[in-house]
Amino acid sequence: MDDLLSTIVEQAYTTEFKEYENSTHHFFSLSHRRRMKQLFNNGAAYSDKPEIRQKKKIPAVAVTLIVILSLLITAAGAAFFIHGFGFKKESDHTVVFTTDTADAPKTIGYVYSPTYLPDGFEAETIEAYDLTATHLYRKGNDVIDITQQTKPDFSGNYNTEGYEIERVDINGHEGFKIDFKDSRMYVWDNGDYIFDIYSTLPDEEILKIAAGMK
Amino acid sequence: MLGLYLSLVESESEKQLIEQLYNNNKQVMYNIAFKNLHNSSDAEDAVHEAFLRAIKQIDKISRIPPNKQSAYMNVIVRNISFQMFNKRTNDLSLDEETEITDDAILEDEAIGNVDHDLLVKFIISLPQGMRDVLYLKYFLLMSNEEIEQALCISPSALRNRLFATRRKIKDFIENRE
Repeated sequence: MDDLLSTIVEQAYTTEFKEYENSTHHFFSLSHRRRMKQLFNNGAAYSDKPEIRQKKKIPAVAVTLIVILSLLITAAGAAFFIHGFGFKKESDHTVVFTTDTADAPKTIGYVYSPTYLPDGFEAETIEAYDLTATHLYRKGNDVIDITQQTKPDFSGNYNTEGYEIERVDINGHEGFKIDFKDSRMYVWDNGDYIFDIYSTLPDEEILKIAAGMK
Repeated sequence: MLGLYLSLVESESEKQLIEQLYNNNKQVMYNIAFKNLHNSSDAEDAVHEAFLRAIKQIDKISRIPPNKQSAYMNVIVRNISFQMFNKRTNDLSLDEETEITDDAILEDEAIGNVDHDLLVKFIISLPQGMRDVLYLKYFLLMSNEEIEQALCISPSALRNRLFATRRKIKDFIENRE
């Protein structure tokens, strides 16, 4: 009995929860992120800390192959690629995934930090977990939210209802940008990690911050 | 209470599993909670609460196949958001504490005689609490004790809910035959 019922129940689950896969991106509040940080960090108290890893160079051959593949597949259909990323466009959002995770660190072994920030911005939170590291700066209503994520665990749903994904050069790496009119999101793969900067600042300032990530 | 839960995360791999589950599922979980609660702050609370429960059951989750771990988180956050909504609206629990004898046996042969698509639709039409126990029991193959912990309900409440659920499915099948 259980096997057949299990199959049917699994089908019911899949049917029922399918609608949530097409959900838009929610920016979690600072208080939520703090609570989750506390949860993760306290959990870490019971385990060994991961070793700090050295930065690695981007494998040039892999980059070349993926760029060629990207160009070929971009011409082919709705799914498209930018170096390191694949995109699946849905009606109101775009699912973004990584395409090149070979040799990428599985945990945040090295936390990158901005060496350039516009005047007046103050750090609100700087957090580092195993799989993500974030820097949040504010100045009045302006925000700079930087996230570093491990490539194997990266996946994102970006709100592209009324917004376009643009291919851009970020700090010497091919990446993409979404302009939300009042704010912008820049995302790129530096070979080891996925970075995104979400900010209300103009493009030039965001690109300068990206260039200063060391 | 938080310290008690966190002390259950003993190994680096378990901690990484929790963090990975969070990074991979937080958006979907938020949207599930938001659909019930219609409030961003409450939906974030539900996601947080779901991870507190997940930590409590980390040993079980680590034994669920990776492709089904998201299902566990989704069912739990929906259950939590439903409970939060009920509290907010002062609704009463549907689970009676009175013990009921479970005689609703579902025969494989009987299930095999029903159009599966109709049965799937019927399951989806069941009340949320019934669907949750079905998913945990028959999709994620959790034990009664594990489901009680996951949903924070008493053993008798679970037994009654399982009985009522199986009874409804049995009635549906019998009416179709």
